[in-house]
Amino acid sequence: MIPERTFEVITAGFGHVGSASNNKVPTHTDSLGASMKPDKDEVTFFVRESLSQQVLANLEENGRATVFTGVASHEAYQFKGHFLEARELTEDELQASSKNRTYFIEVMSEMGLPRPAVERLFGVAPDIGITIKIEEIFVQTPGPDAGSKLPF
Amino acid sequence: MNSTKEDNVENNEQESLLDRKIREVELIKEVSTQVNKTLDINLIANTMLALMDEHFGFKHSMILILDDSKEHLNVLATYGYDKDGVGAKVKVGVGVIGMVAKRKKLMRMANMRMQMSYMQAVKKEVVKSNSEKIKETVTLPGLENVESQVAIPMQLDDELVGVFSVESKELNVFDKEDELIITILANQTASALQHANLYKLEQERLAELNTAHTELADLNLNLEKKVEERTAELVELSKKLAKYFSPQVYDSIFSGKLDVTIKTQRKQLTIFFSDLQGFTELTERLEPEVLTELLTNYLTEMSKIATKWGGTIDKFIGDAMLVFFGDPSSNGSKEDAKNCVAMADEMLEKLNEIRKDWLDRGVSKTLNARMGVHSAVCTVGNFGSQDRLDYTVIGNGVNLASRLESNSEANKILISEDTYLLVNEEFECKERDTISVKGFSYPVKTYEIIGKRSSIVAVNQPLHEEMPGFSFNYNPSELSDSDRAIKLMSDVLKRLEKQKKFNKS
Amino acid sequence: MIQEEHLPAMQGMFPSTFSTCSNEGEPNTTVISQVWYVDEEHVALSFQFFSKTRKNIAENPFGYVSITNPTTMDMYGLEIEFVRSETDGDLFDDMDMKLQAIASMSGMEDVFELKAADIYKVHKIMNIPI
Repeated sequence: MIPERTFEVITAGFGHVGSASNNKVPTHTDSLGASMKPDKDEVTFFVRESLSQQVLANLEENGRATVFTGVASHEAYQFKGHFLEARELTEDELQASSKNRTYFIEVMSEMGLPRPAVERLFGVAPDIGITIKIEEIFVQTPGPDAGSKLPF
Repeated sequence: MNSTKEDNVENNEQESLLDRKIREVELIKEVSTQVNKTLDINLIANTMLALMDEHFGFKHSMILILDDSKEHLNVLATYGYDKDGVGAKVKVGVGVIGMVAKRKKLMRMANMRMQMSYMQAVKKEVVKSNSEKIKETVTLPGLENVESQVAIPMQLDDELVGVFSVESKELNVFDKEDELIITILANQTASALQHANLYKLEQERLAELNTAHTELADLNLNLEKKVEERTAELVELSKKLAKYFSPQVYDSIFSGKLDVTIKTQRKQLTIFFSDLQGFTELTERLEPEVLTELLTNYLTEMSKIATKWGGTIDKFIGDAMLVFFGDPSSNGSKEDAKNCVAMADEMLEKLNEIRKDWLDRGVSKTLNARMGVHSAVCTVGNFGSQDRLDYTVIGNGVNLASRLESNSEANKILISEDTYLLVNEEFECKERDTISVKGFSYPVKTYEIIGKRSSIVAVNQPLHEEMPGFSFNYNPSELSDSDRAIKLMSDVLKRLEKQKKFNKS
Repeated sequence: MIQEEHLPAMQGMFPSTFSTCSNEGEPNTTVISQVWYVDEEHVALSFQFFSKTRKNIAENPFGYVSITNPTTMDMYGLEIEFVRSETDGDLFDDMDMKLQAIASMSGMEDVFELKAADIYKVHKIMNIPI
């Protein structure tokens, strides 16, 4: 059961899905939203297929996955687990992602980053979901607790 | 050769870049000229900041100067801030400006808010467990919610003078170009400020010198005045003291001839003692004021005479006097002795006058003086304790003089043989009884002064007098029978007196 | 390798993502504030706290870092390999100055301490065609 305190970050956060080849060369891709089945310890991260080729290949190869997700307040977690599947996104998921991305655009623009550029970065919708079975969760919120394991 | 559209575009870009560069250099020149026109520190700083907005669009800027402690920077001038901020302090090592000062390296910040918010997030966590590691948050002068900043160290000869800071609320608004411009202008400012500072120091130094001169002149004036005052005081004091010394001793002290130490020497002196017979009785009978007046009058007159003849008045003891001749200065033992006797003689004459005065004032008691003079080698000089000196004379000779005085008849001067041998030439003397004196193994011969011989010399002068019924002619050199002349004079005198009586009845 | 166009992405304007891998093949992904430009072939990351990331690098020097140009939002991916740690020099000073300037404003100068500037060789730099 994924702890409730991480829900906000999972669903509203800006994440990065990391993997490594069998030669231990790491890589990652950005995720713009996620859906979850907390009682099944499953989280599906929304990514763009064209930018995730290497990640997908690695996941197929050894299934080891890690995802760093955080929100503007700097609350963040790292989810470690193994790759279940890559699938198409549902309507709901696409809508959720769209909502997220709109929010990011606003926040980034507020911060002063040039809106057109921000829209370019977050404007394109993700097209696939990478589902991970979560095995470990680490707190990544900056501070002395960073790196500590979250029991679940 | 074909020039393509792309080439043209690139050329235009190059040109505009060059134009920009030229313009920047011109502006920098213009700014520095303006700033160097003045030697006023504040004007320099404020002019620079205003020009930086006018020519380069830097809307919020400030200049800070390192203070003497080298631990803080003070805001000298600001431009584009709500609050003046002048005088605000920044600690070296704190914040962007503080770190630039500490490391003497420029810093360009592009997104401070994001970095600050990350810092705050961590702080929130740290506070929960490790709060002792957290120091106080400081309020620094500058923009609230600043995003971009360029801070430049102002240096002169590797010494940090201060920091030049430009801020903006916009994200990532300064580039390398801006860094360069601000660096150039910052160094110009440092240079101009130093000139102004040196000028200021020079002015201050001049002012200090002027003040010092004035103070010195005042001091000199005061010193002279003080010296005058002090000298006047001392003169007054010494005048008062003079009354306690014989004039000769006093002069000797002041001339430096007489050293003020316990020092004595043996010298040939003539000693004089005198007192008033019957004076003590008077002290019982008279009012103190009258007595004092009489005594003062007497002693004053006697002192004048003593001083006139060059005697050193040793002391007064009531009506008694001790005077000596031969010290501090001497005219030779003969002259000293003659002067002493002459003095005594004149004193007796004066006493006659004083006696008449006192009679007129109701003092019926006749006052008679007794005087004694002796010449001998005595010990004279400063006697006494370390702190209290008395200039006086001691010895057997002094004792003899005193005994002579007490043996003298009223209004007479009794002298010793030693004195007689010295004064006999000038004064007629009559031998008197010998007296025995303690300290003398043999009885001492004494003589009484009759009078100055010069009064007797007049006797040898011829005398001639003529009037109706009487004429007189006396020529000592022709007269042989002086006895017959004396008898004749005596008979004539008797007949004149008888006739006078007969005429009256 | 590193070009003029990449430089704006190395100012810490936008956070970067850094992935490493342990000797056992376990990947780790984290977000860092800045990738520093050293020269055409090298970048540097600041080492402040001991972390899983650093442990991985010690075991396996290969890493992957993505950087973003804050003006255009262009993204680049760099394949990097750890070379050495520097505890002094200009780069270390610059990193430290920046860290201290911000930290001291919140009274956090004793919490944040720059332990080293880690130098990485850049093997490959590629566009991420967003």
